[in-house]
Amino acid sequence: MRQELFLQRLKHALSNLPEEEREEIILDYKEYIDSAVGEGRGEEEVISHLGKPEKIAQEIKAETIWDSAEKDRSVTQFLRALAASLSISFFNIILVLGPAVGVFTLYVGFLMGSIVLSLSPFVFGFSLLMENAVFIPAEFFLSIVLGSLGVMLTMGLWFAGKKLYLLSLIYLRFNKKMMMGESH
Amino acid sequence: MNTQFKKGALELCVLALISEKDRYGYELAQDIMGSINIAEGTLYPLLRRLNKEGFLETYLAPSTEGAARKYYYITNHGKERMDQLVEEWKDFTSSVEHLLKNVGRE
Repeated sequence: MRQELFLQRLKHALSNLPEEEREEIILDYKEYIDSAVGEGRGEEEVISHLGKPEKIAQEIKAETIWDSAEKDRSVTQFLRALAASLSISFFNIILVLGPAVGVFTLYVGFLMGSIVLSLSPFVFGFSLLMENAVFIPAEFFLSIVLGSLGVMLTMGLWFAGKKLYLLSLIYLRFNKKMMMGESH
Repeated sequence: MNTQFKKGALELCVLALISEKDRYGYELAQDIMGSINIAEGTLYPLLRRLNKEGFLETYLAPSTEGAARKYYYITNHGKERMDQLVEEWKDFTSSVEHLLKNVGRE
């Protein structure tokens, strides 16, 4: 493979990295190939020793995506890390995507439940207004208790969510090591 | 050799070589491959990580072929890291030697 093709494939494989970072990586490899050729090695031979551009890109992306997922925590960053992890191996559809969907659904379920619970005093007030129902103290207190419980649960789940995010990243890293460890 | 194991050792070799003198990517790869067999392509991801973690810094200097080269030098933080890795390496190898001696393989 010629240098242009190698760099082009590498660039393409790195397409979801920031422009600046991608250019820097391309320059690094260009410098490497030029130095090797400058010392009398054949271009094709050097490039074949570098390995597949897609493989290199995978390694670089895995490092950088996990880094940014740790630094600035957001759903997008997390989804990127998840996608990178799925691209490592077909088995990760079972090992990563399955648990991820399960845990995420469970978490959202709990979060929704606790938010609805927090709203119970409003539901109580609303029904009182709309249906001209008789004020029942027991119901009123019940709604207050359920409401505070809901607020506390929501707050707890919010913090638990952050922990869950970090734990998932640790799992993804561990999984990456297992998957890539012996492969090259 | 196990790749994870090799990777850990590679970080130590890279830090040690760069602490001896500033080096550019290709030079570094050649110096390492003189002793250890690595996939050449994996060196830059490692250099990028060490740079991001503040162990290495870079500067550009012109080369005889014209184009500028990126040189790597070690930071104080990087030296501390290297010392720590050297310690771990020595502990590890002496434990393995001890074990081999005990089972009479050496």
